[in-house]
Amino acid sequence: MKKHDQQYIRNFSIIAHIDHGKSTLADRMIEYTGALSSREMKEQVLDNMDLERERGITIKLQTSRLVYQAKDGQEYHFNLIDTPGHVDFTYEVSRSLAACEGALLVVDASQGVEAQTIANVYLADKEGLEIVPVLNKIDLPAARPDEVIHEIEDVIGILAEDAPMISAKSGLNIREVFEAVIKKIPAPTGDEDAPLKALVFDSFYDTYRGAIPLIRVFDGVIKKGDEIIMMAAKQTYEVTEVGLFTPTMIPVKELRAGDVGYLVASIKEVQHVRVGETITHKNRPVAEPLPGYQKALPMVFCGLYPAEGEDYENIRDALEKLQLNDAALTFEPETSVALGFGYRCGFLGLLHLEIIQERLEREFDLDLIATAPSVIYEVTTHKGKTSLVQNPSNLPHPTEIASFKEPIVTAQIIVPKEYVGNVMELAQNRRGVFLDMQYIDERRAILHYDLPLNEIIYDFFDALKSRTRGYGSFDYEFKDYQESDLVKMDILINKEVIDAFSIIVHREKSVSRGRQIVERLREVIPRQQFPIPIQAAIGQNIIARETIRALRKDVLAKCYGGDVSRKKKLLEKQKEGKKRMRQFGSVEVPQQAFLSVLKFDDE
Amino acid sequence: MMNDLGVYVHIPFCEKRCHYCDFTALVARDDEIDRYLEALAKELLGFQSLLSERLITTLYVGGGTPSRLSLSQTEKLLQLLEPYTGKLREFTIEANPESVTADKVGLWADYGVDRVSLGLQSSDAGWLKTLGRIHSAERVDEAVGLVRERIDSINLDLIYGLSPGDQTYLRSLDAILSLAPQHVSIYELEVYEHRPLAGMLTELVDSDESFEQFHRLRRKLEAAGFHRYEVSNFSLPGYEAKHNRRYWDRADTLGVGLGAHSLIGRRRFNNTTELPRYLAGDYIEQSESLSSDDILIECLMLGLRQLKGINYRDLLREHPQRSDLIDQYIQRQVALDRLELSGNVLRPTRIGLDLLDTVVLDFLSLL
Repeated sequence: MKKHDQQYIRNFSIIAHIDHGKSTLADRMIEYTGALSSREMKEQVLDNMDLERERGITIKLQTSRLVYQAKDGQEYHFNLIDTPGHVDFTYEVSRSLAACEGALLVVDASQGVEAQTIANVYLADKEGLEIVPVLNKIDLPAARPDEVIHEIEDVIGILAEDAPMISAKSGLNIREVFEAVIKKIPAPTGDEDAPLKALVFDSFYDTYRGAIPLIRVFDGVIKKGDEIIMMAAKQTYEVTEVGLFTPTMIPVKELRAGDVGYLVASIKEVQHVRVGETITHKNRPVAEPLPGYQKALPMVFCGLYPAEGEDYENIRDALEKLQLNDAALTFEPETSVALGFGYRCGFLGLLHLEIIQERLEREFDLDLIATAPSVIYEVTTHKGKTSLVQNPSNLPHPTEIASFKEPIVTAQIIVPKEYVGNVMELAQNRRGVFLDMQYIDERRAILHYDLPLNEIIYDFFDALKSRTRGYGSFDYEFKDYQESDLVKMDILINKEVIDAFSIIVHREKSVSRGRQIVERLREVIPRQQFPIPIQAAIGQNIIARETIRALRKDVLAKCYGGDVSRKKKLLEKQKEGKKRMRQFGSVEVPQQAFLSVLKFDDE
Repeated sequence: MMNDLGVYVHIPFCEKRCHYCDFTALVARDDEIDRYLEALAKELLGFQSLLSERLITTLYVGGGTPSRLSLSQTEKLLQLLEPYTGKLREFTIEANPESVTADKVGLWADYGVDRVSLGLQSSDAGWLKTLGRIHSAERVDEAVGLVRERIDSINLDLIYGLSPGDQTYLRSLDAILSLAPQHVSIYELEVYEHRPLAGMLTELVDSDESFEQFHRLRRKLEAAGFHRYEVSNFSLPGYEAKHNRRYWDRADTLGVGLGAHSLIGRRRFNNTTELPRYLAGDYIEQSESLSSDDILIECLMLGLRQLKGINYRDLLREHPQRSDLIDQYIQRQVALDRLELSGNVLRPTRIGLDLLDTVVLDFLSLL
């Protein structure tokens, strides 16, 4: 290959529905080209976070350069850019795709097209990418390649006749994938002599070298010593190293138009190199940055509090460390009457929230209490002041509210047709507005709904799965803010409002939701000497009530010489359990209570 | 008083192990029992200086089933204990109805036993079977008759909380009262996962039901002239169990025999529960020196089991470093109507007795 001849470069991503084999295919391709010896290969090298591996999804992007000897005798350089596999990370996915000329669309030959497949294809389409379908898991007995090819052609509208039929797991026909990439995905066509124009599509944090952005060079050349400027952040840096991922980091002299790699420039925080940022030279800048830059906007919020007070500082340290690598995570200190000092954190979505929470508990060994997740509401008072509210405690008094708006998303749901009724019922229960429905094939339908985000942040996906025996798939994107009849519902324990339990809920659903919460709390709060009323209230209005009956007997029957040590040990153990409880007046509430109000099923 | 001592002697042998029992009890051959008595003699010898310098006021032979010993074994045991019986104010032996004979009662009385504790548990044949007891209700009457020939003071044990909706426990109490004991202990059934009973009961009694059953029994006992002086213990005036009181008062007690526990001064220690080890003379399994806080917790945990309560001034005097905490605690418990303080006496209310575990746990949580 002639050096920097762009016609021998291919930049592409792999897109797929979860579990359709995206990461396995990436592994096979890396292995095939010998970028890593198989001894170095862990299963699915691109997913290198433990949590990702456990959940089988890619959260943080990885990228790799593959050198492939093609059938035409030429050596090609492939840049495989990984994309996160979940709806919460749509913006990150779109920027990764923007770094490519094409995408491999992996479809499971037995499962067929799923909601996420379509969502990802839309994204790739928007970026003008060439989409190359690949049928995976072709060796499974349940594979039905002919039908799935039809589906791809009908539903997605791309030709799939000559799609490679592979098994990423066994490595069957992997070579055909490389050949299809060469044949169908266009080579980059940047101008090396034009001013530098490079896109940041990911970044990660290195303890010694700071934030390291992953970039795609569209025009120009970047090398060590260059003075660069981040066009959105308006920050300038001096480049100290550029390099490639193989997937280990290899420094090179320069990155030229068409290349994908990384740069090191002593950037202190990942916040300074947001995904979507355009990099150019300080002394010869491009006139216009690349389109599509957005600040990562948290959609879902919750309060995180230490289960034990002394962890307050530790939580901040941990959040700061996670933030180094996660520009989308936001947090600020917050005080709750019930829970004391904690942090209000913002996330891209519920999965993002769960991942951060788990990492805090697992990697930093923190014991956390999370409040009910909330979305951002737009509240306008009669005086005409509009504010964004995500903590129910910050709502103005109901009488002052002139307009209360909530975020609406458009969701697409794909289900086998026997479950359409169930899904419609579910969407109805979650205040969904039906848009349309089409049949994908004999067996499956695709439904579109507008749904309030606050109806899906709790457990919509679980509910969908349970109503479709696991066959339903789901994806959504933000639509707009809409006026809604929302109210703040408080929970009172022993007549005292516990602010951490307050939620914003649609008026029509307040009674059933209130009932569910007080029932849950009755089950998890231990009985105490006095009966404890648990109430749900809107303003002064009690809408649901349960009572925890009084505990009347709690004493060891026999306590003689031999029982003393045993009893003491038992008490010590109970004391530990008690420590984990929160005291509200004379009532002790276990941590579990805070979790139990998050989950709710439709009756 | 400072110098007195109670002695507990454990006889771990049973004819058959009851289905609910979690004590150190085993079914053994006769020759093993003989060897056990020899090991016991050696263990007592090891405590010679302690036993000789203290005034031994109570002796309690418990089990297991002490009445399970043969006549000659019984005599051997009593001979062993005879040196310590001179100044006794109470000498109790535990017995099961099926193994009480006139001869054994005769020996007990000859050696000074003045109180017999009989495990009656229930008068219902069905429940006796479920519990794994081998005596019949009729045998209890006979055993009490035999004991009363020589020894007047009798305790009878009753188990309640057998199953929700069970009514037999009240009939069992009637049966007990008809035998005119001076002392009655009523124990809530404790179901241990690892004991056969756990698999035999389909439904367990909840704390509300347990509360109801206990207080029905209590009212009936009080109507019959008994007074409750401890969580589970009732007696006619003057017949409170002196040896058992030592545990609740944290008075020194030496326990000898398999698995027996002792408290001497600040030290709690207990014997092995493995017979071979015990027979080999390897008696002690664990020993700990109690911290001041341990003692404080024990004072509350044990002392407040008794209606007479504990001495508030002594408590403060002995734990000056915790006096603020103690006051804060008492104030709160009094406000909750669980404890009452009158003069220097801190005692549990009826609510406090019923919720004693919670009451003590509240103190622990302050430490």
